[in-house]
Amino acid sequence: MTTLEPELAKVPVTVLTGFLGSGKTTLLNRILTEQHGLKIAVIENEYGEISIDHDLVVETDEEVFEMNNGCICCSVRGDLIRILGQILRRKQRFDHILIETTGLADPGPVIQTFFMDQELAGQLQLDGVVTVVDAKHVGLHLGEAPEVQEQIAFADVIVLNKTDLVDEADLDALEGRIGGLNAVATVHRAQNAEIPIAEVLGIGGYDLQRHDALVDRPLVPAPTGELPMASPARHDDAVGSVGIATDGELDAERFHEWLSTLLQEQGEDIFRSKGIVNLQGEEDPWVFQGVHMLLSGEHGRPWGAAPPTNRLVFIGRNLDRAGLEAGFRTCLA
Amino acid sequence: MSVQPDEVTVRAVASTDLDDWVGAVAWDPTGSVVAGACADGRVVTLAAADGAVREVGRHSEPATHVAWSPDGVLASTGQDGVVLLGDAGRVVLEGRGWPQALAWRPDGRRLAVARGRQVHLLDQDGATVGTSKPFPATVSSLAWSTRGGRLAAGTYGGVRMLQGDGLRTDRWLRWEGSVLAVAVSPDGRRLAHGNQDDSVLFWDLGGRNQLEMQGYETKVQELSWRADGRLLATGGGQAVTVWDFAGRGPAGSRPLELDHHEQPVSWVGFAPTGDLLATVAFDGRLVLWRPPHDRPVAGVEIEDALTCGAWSPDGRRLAVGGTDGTLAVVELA
Repeated sequence: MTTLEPELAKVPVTVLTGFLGSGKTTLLNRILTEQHGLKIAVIENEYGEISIDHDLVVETDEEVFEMNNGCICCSVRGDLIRILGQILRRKQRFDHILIETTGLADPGPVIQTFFMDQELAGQLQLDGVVTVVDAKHVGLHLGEAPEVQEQIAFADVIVLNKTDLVDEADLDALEGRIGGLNAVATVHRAQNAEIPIAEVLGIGGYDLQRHDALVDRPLVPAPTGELPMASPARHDDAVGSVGIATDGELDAERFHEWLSTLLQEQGEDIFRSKGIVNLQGEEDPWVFQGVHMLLSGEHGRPWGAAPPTNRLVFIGRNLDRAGLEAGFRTCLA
Repeated sequence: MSVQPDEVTVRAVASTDLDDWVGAVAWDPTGSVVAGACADGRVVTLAAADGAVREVGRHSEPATHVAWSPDGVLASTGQDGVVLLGDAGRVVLEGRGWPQALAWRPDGRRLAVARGRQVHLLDQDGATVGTSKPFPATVSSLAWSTRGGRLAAGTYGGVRMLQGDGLRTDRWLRWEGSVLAVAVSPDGRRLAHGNQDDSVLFWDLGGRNQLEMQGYETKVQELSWRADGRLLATGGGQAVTVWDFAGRGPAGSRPLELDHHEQPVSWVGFAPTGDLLATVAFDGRLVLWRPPHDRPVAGVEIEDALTCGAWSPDGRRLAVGGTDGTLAVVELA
């Protein structure tokens, strides 16, 4: 065999999370009923809040299990491996797959499923995690349910819903608090889960080549390595973001060693990591992303007009900001 | 492709196009008709002699499994959760969930169905005679012992050996991982299971010894024992790995690697008697081997990515199914 067939485009998958009553199912119905011309398959938890009427709706019973693959140990969703594998066997190809989790689900295992199972990884592309937040009640939930913090921490897009029930000042404060939990997610305010579909589907949350968001984010590069992404800790949230933004070249070997060791040792608490860095001797940026202990990286698009820099974000539980910063500094060439 | 015509030649003798993914094939006990499960819901038979095609059952969702009893009773199941029996496709079991396995007891008097976390047992007329209690995780695979005394049920957490119509757990082969495929050696001495964690595990059923073999390229879903129980062929990724249980067994030994396919292997099967091994892959090739020789002895390429295969009971024919709807019969000479 000398010719390889062109690889079929991977089917994008969006994970929809949100605490009970946040409006997650309203958003799901909105996505399904809008005239977008997409053929969408929905995988819904067994205890969905409202019944939905659609082409292919598969109900599932969440089955989280530990998977030990060489040196990586992580949780995946066995039910999704089975269901997605079989959905891919239909002649009718879907343009998009939506997975709605239960209100109490930890999105971690759902996301890791797409990286740990090679059959799925070859055919599906995780597009992003969309988390619906009830602006009126989330303050209460944040303190009581660790799942809410996890769902926000894992989000690429946060739909701050039911804004009509909250005044402007409270919304600003809430958005600030969410920014402290997850410094890289895009937050949209909405009433009745009304949001343009382009803001929730096709967002490329796990596309390593879309690092513009990281670079363009209005954080002033601080020569001292100050951490401008971190918002003031007005709340005692266990989950938070640590951002590192600094110029200078990194020693490639030391950096890879530091990052992989960090995720090996602290991957349980570091939910997501993302970054674009300037490695010594490399013309193009190096971009990476991690989900717990899973890490992937590649060369990014050329720096272009933007001056080379280093931007890293870690989102997780009880993160040791000083330790992360000190560790990173040892990588500077 | 180049083939060494070495004593065996194969040629396609009958074929039909079902126009959608054929997920499973099975031979009738006389080896003259093959049944295929199609993703459009149909269960179709193809006669080897004259190529006659007949629809014998229809599921409202994709058909996924077919199994023919030694007495000539055809059973099928699909994502509609229904089990159909006989030439007229009579509904004998209904319910929620996608069945994962279908297996006649070697005497043909019991049909085991794995659906969700339970195993159902039907008699040859389709009457339910037993249902297991719900296990903690979905049952992924089933295998009867050679004489039918035990039913091995693979699940997350190991393999349960079920006994009698009550499907009581007689023995639990505990293992910390997700089991995807189970096979009991024809001599009843060993059990092998293929795992999500890119590994296989062997159990010495007479004792308590277990042996784990890691290092597969992907999860392992294909297993087949040679009729004499000495060799086990396994498929995970593009390579086929054959383990030898002669003497002190495979511990510490190097397995035979059959390296030929250029896409993931979708089925491996030793002939019902003798030493021929057939392998089928998404590269469209059906290849015959005679381990321990590591070169193909015959092969045929079909214009479709092959998903499944089966030996006729007399070992003279093979059937294969493909992603685009191929259902084909190949004859050995």
